[in-house]
Amino acid sequence: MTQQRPDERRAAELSRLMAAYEKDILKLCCLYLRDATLAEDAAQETFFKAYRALDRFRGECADKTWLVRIAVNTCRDMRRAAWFRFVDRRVTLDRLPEPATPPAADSVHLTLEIMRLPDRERDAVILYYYQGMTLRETAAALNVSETAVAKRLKRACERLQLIWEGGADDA
Amino acid sequence: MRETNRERIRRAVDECLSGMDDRPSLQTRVLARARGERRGPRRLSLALAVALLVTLLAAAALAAGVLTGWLRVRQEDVGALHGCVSLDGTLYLSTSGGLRTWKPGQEEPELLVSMDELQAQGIGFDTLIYADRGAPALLDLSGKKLWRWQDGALVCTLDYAGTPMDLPQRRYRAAVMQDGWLFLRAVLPEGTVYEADVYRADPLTGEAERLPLEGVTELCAWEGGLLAVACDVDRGVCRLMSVDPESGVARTLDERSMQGIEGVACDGDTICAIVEGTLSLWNGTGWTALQGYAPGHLDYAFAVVGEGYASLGTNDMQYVPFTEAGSLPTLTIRGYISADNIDADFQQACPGVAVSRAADPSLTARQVAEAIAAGDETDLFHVRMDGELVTLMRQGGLAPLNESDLLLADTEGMLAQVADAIFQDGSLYAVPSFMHVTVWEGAEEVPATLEALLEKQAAWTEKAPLVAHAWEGGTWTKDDYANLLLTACITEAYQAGRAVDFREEAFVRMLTALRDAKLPETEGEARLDPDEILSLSGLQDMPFSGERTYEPGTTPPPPSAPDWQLPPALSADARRTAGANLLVYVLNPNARHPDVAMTYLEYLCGHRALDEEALIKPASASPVLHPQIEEWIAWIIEDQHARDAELGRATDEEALTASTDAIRAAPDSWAVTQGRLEAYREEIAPYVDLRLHPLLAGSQKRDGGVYARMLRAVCDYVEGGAALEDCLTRLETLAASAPAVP
Repeated sequence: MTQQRPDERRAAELSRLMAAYEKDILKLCCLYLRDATLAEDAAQETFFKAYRALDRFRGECADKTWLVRIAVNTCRDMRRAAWFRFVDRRVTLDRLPEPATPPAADSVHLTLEIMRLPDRERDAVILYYYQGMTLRETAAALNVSETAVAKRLKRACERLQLIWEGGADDA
Repeated sequence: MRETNRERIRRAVDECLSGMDDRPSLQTRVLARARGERRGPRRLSLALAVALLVTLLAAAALAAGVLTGWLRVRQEDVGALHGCVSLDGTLYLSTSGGLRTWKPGQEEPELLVSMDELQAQGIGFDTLIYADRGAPALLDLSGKKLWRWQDGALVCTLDYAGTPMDLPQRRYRAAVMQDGWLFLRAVLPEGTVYEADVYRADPLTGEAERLPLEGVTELCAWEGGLLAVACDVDRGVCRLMSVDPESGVARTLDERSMQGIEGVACDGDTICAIVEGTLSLWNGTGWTALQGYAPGHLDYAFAVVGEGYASLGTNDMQYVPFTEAGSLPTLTIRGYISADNIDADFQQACPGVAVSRAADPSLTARQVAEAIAAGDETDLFHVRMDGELVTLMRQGGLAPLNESDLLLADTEGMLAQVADAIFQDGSLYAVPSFMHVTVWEGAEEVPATLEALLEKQAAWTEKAPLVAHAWEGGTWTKDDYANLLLTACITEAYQAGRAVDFREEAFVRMLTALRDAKLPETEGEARLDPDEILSLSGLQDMPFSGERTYEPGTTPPPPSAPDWQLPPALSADARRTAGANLLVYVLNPNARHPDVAMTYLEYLCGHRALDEEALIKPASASPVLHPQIEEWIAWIIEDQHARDAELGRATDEEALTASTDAIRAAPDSWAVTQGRLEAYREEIAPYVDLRLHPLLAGSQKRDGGVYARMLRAVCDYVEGGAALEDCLTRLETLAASAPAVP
């Protein structure tokens, strides 16, 4: 068997991660940054950071949780950066590529409402409801307790006028 | 079956984001970047090439006592710079390319250990470098290990995982070894730079305890004890402290205003720092000034190496040999910070000069006048153009700049309002650096008058309010309207060339209407944003712009059409204006180095950011790409050819051209877009107003200033705490009490 060099091994691992999660991470970044180009930058940065850290990732959590945590932090950094204040801050879908099929009006409304949520609540909704993570995984990705995630989700559901359905899938 | 929240949210978001599914994969780009094949584009300013040429000639002529040994190492040459430590005249640099060494006199750092070698040992990118008993050492944050260089290799000295030093809720930002202890500056992931804790750890066992030190921004090992710079944000001061390594007790050596002491570095018993913009040595009781020195904008690591000082930021490393004060001209600047790295760039272009900038973003024209009257010898002040600065110019209190043909030529094509302000009595007194024009933005039409706006706002009953602050996101309060009203009243009187009359009908009517108004207290996205800082760029430059590509076949995001509008006026017949903050450099008549200052100003004229230049000179501006775009495109072409040659295939020139054309076509490739420039020229520029009435000067808007007290009087009335007549009398009394400019 041919032994791979460390950089080849890492490149192969990166390819696997990108094949599996690139679209998920890209969409996650889109919801945070509301801009396709910025989201691509954030996703690229996420995978680059992951590539650099691959050797240190010891599988304490799922690949996806690990990548999501990097992506969330990258998006937060970008939102905090000085230049972000110059970016159009209105919450619209104008900076996203037009879908092949126009989305239903209620989908647009709900997506915009999610984007408008306070940061902490939006983080929780995106990870728990959209990314399909469990309460525990969401808490791990956000570096907070499960109780805190549950509270944020409950508040978010009230704002979104949804019924709080937390916990059932975490049993 | 009822759709769950998870299903509903997934469906909604997937429908809206399905356009992202067709984006080409980022994999090639990530791998190319990871392999370090892509060099970041350099920022180049091509503006005013002639001015640059003449300026550089002038700079060369100035360089009589050329500073030898000055060096600048850029990120694209050695990789991202993470940290440094100085040992026996050698600087050890931790970079994304590995561990490097550099000694004064060398042109470039040398590689000591490559990143691949470090990674082969299990050492990651995320490391802090420090000195451990005379040798460089690394704290590997992700591997949670300490490494020390000994016998030509890095040896692990501690695995601190699971020890008290392993703090999952903190992130170490600096490590310093002192008297056998490892001192660590740690921040919370969400914390600011001023919210750091300091831990003392045993590097042999990982035992650690927090020291009672707050606001520490820098740590440095020193023969006389650990040194720390700590900031007290509430008091607006920073202190240099000596900390007893055993007891943790701190003793203050010096106290300055915020940012007054930074970049502390030691070698033996020498303490060096940038004190009020000047490189200085600690003499035991105070600072001995050396030359001025402008570090990079965001430099975070500093060291004394041999007989010089090194500062490191993400973008570059600078090294400057110590030079006695007065042995080379030091240009002194006080006031607002510079745009980009203009000070460091000027030092490089003009190596016979050092730049010392005392950052003071709250400097007012009145303080400039007082400093000049007191004999202050600062060369240049960087200050907001306001009515008190105009008075100072008219009184002959500033040095005219007419001797420079370049500076006079620079005023050609300037916005008339700007040119009128910087020329007084036929003399040029100021050089604009940048301008913030504030406009209202939103699809909703802005009413022509404040009264109409108030009526519309009060009548608004839907969830979204009409007007909101851009930053806080809340609806406007009566205080916000009061501020707009007072500014409009003063500005409109100034425009009409008459005294401010607080008893004029429109003002009194609006005051009463504001007092009686019941403003909606709603949350949500505003229909109008009254605080939009106008930008001519397709998108502001950003850290990852060098990595962005547009593949053939993809559609660049559409430009956001500006929907800028002018704020409402007080009176229906008054001219609506867009308020602007213009920052200018002015020359002190007492300047120590007026020639150097003039050269700096000429250099500045040739190196304004392109969008700033277009804001100041819209008539002569043209749509223009970001300066690095063509360089980046050249790199892409070269890179593609190299890749194809490596794979033994012919380059698809058609596809490559389509790719590079797509980059040029993308709105965010443009420093100045045609649509924004045209909208600015036609709809905003003629109405830009620099708010030059003395009552609107920076000194009057501060706490205790006349304007601030007038605003309080208006707020007291509209909030029901005072009678109308009392309010008007207070306004008249205060307006008459405005102090003259010294």
